[in-house]
Amino acid sequence: MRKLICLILALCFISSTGALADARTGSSNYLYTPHDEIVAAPPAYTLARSITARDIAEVDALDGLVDAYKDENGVYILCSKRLIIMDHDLKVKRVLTSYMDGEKEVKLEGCTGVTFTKNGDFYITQSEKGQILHFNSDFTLNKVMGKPEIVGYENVNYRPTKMVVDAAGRLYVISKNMYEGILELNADGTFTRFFGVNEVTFTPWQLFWRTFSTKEQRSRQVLWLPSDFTNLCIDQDGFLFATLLSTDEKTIKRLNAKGENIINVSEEKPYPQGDLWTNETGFGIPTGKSQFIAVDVNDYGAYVCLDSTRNRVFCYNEDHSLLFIFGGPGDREGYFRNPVDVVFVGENILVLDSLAQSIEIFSPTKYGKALMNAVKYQYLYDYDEAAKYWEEALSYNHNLTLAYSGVGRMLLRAGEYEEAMEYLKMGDDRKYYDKAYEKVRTATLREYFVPAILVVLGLIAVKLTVSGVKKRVQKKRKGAA
Amino acid sequence: MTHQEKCCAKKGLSWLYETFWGFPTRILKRPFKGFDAMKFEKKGSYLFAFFVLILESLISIMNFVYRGFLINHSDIYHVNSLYLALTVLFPVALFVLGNWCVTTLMNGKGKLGEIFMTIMYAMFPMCLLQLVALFLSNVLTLDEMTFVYAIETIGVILLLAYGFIGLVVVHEYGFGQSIGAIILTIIAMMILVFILMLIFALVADVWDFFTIITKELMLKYF
Repeated sequence: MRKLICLILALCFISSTGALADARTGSSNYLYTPHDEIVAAPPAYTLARSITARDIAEVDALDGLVDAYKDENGVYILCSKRLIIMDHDLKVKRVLTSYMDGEKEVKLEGCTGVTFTKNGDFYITQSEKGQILHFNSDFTLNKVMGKPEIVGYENVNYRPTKMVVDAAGRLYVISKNMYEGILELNADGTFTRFFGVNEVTFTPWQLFWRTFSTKEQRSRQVLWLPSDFTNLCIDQDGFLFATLLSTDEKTIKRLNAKGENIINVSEEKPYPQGDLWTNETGFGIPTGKSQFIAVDVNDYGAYVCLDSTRNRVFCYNEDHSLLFIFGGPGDREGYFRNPVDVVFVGENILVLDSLAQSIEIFSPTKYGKALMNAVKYQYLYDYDEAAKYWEEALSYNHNLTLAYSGVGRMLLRAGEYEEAMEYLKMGDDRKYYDKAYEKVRTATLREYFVPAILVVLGLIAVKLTVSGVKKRVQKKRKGAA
Repeated sequence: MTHQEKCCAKKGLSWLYETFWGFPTRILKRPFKGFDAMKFEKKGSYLFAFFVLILESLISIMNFVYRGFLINHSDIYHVNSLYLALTVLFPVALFVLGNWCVTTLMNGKGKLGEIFMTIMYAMFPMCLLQLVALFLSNVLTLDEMTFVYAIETIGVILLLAYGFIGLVVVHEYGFGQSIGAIILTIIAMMILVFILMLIFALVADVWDFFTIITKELMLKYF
């Protein structure tokens, strides 16, 4: 008997290790519950391969990785001294290290950002030189844009770090130390306006202490300046996603044409802010809130943000619900040493690690694929298809609240209200639960209204007759007496 | 069943009815007269007072767990029932003690037990309304939840109103004096909390001191 048990146990063990060996382990496999608690999740994206200088014949080193950009023509990786142009399969097509400025050959140096337009021409920002290089699609220099003329800013350093171009050809440039917001420039490089300023916010406590401090004290205090933007990208609807160095949780903003933040989450849901539980005490672990330094959007409104505090990548859907997390600090596979940018390439996600001098390529697992497909079909309003993928995702992760609500909404639309209620409750989706519940309640009321009324009427009738009979009996007794 | 037993059972039933429904509702109908009867005719019952206290603690737990899903944002799988009960017990104890401290100095005629009973009798309607709200929260839709909130608010207002009247009667105060006493009570409550925190901090320090000494001794001699 004991032998049999041992055998069974051994078999179980072998099969389980087999399963483990099959699965990819990933990194930072967790999510947050609706009550902001950490819960384990299967890996959604795992490292497929990493590209270093060794894998690219055209370059000798991948030093100073700063920026990545992707459009329908290819993927562009910018190092401080070179621009690498790849196709979508990440095969190098061309490497740009210098350009001709008139007769003179100028080497690329101190590049910080790159962006391409639909026509194929592109811009490279050079922060230290304070200029933006505009190239034609044949890689010849179109023009060099220096500091735009802004009245009142003659003495302020112009340090363009990152930029994007919108569909109309306007340039949005982030400049260090310009606290008034993102610079909006015309296509010819002239200044139009500042855009999306970060309001300075004070706590009542700060103001309280400030009223007591003397002039000297105030002059020694740190200036209360609006926070700097760090990175930006344009999403599928033409809105601007921008990351900023922020002290509160709003370290990413989605800006409309007026420069207002349009990320609105209901009271129940946290603002997309990376980690909700953070270490505050030190002990050799990074402290403080997540600080997003890069962002990229795919065609279905899902966006990935790179957290520089803990080197993690957070992915949110268009409703700002957390989809998955991967990455983390470290040297192991799937972890980063100093990530600088993140970008979607097809269904893969690229992360640039400047310290490891490598381009890390993450591909979705089965679970990640189901998740992204569900998000995609939900974005396309194909709820039945989305529910199919939500169910698949649920088969990998029972704790995925979002999937429960996705399935629940489909069931609600299909008219299966009681099942919908069950799923929506698990999905913590009160708005749609309410709709399903209302239907169920109406049906129940309709079913039991007539019998209930009949019962009540019957009871009243019984009561009346009984009391009537009693009275008659009493009268008779009185009569008899 | 003999006649005597029947009589006893009937008496018990009527006593039960009187303590748990008759007298409390009489206080609700005529608060001044009712609280007067509680104080001078010794109609008040400690049994009922503790019953309401326990009921209210239970309701605070039930409100956490069984409140309708649509307006229940609490994490019902991590319920700390002791803590929830304490959210009722602690403020009540604090208020009763604080009020007693203040009113003994201000020539209030109420005793500690009477203050406690007053608060509990005043809390009774709130308990009932909270139970109704708890039931409704499971039946109504999101748009209709306003009723639940309204009922709960009415409950709190009733608690305040009856509590105030009760304290006026029990302490034999005028209106202005009562208001003053209540403001002072709130200050007294804050002082009590402060003292409690001091005590806890001190006890923790003393505890630390002894644990460290034991540790040192253990390391040295054992």
